[in-house]
Amino acid sequence: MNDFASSSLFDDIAAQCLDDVLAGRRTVAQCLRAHPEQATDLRPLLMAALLTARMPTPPPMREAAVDALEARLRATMTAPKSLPKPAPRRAPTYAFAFSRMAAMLALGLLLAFGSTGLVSASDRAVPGDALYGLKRLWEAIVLALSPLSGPHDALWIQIAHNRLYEIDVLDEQGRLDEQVLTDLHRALYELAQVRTPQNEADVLLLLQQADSLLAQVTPQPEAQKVYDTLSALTQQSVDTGMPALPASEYPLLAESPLMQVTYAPPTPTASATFTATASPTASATPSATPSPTATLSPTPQPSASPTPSRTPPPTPSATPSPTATLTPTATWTALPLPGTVLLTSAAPTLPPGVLPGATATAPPANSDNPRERETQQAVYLTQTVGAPATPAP
Amino acid sequence: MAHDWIGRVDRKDEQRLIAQAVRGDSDAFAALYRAHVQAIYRYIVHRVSDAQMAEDFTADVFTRALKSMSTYQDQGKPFLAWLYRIAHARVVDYYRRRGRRPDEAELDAQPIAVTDDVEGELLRGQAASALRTALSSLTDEQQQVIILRFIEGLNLEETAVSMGKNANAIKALQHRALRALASRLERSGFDLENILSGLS
Repeated sequence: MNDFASSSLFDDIAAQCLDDVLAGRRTVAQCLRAHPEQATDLRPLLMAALLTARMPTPPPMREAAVDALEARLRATMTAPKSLPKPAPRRAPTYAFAFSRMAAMLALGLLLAFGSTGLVSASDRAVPGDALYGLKRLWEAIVLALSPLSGPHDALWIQIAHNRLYEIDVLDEQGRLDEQVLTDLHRALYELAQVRTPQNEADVLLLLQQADSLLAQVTPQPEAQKVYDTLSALTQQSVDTGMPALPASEYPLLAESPLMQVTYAPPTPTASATFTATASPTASATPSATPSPTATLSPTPQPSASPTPSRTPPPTPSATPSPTATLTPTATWTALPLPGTVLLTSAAPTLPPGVLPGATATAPPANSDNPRERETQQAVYLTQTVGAPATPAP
Repeated sequence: MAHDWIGRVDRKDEQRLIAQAVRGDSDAFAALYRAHVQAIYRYIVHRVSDAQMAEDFTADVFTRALKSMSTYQDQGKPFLAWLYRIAHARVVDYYRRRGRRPDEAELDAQPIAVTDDVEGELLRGQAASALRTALSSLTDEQQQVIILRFIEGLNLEETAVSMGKNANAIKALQHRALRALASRLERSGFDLENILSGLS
């Protein structure tokens, strides 16, 4: 085969000839005469295509098997679903009641906002599109309102599917970058937190589809590492038939397409203060009181790159004190949506406890419980991004 | 129900059925199943060794689709494209677990439609056997594009949608796949021109 046979021009010629020959508009000989310089390379392609097209169609699936499968599927759909045992009810705390009220209020406002069609129009947005910020904002809101908006695990499965769609489109456009793959990793990590025997089949199917898609895409060079991480997980899932999900979050990117966060690693001092600056201007000085969990292990990384992390920055002592305060500094850059600070679900880079624009002390956002984290985001969203959703008086 | 995309479901009808199926309407999902079951079965039977296995895999595909229906997001692509992807993942999964491709004996066991043309049928049988063996030696993507483009008869755009690629990528892929297929057939002593002239 000569070099020409691997060129896109040859692909075009071959595609046209294949279409014509298979449709009966031209014979193989006519195509070869029309392209004498490519005839040597074209001939085997056209012959192989013709042979394949002329092969006998296998007998269809037996009608009895089709009927039986339909009956099984119908039975599955109509069978009563076994519901998980409800968790014992706890007396609501004031904070919980407040966040639930805020969520209900936000839901009402956002239903009106969503009904404008903007939200549904953003469904197909991909990074770089004008409506992509809205799409991600909507995801964060829907998550924050769970279970009102749906089961938490189902929402994360849907979000992971959204990321797969975006990966697919970005790959077609030749700009499959690190961000969207990191976002998928984050969605899978969140799924790992809400994994149950009931959702295992759905998660496995998601991972199988991810595996199929990842095998067909070509990431940009800088995205290779996270691509390899994801591919290893999805392939393991396919190989074992068991969902393999990330055990930890992938290091978040310093630059998100929606939000730039500069993060100053904390100096190893015992006390610290947050300073968050939102655009246009907003600052807050809340303090976070992390619980003494393993994520507070004293491994200061002052030389680390400015990668924002959801886990609180390290404290200086080997035994983290429950009263320790933290001192990261974050600068928030507003998103293209006017008056809105978008929080990407993939870049949940709100430093613990910081709610730009909020004057009240925020609850610590470093909870191990993903639902609590989302509730904290809901409060944040209703205080900040809720503004554009409010109808004009 | 009107049909257009590769002779199957009209897109508007399909979108309506999908919306109903997402809400748990078993009649709607059954209609989608009826519209696509044979296409999925044919795709699988070309990739695996026997009809019974293809029926089992087809059942797996629709069972998985049903389980994921509540989270299905209509992204403007035909429902069949999603089913093809599930079917592709199922077949790839099968061969990964098994660790090998189907052997020739298994492929030969695949039934061939019988007609009154005994001589032509014999020739087709031999050609089909050689073709299946050659096809099974291609990469997963190459097999997929050959089946969708030249056996199922999808056009470039439809194949692109089903495989999650753009049309230019499919042009290049079909070119590589056909070249590899022709090469395998020639290496096994199969004369493309002779067999084609015998079939015509």
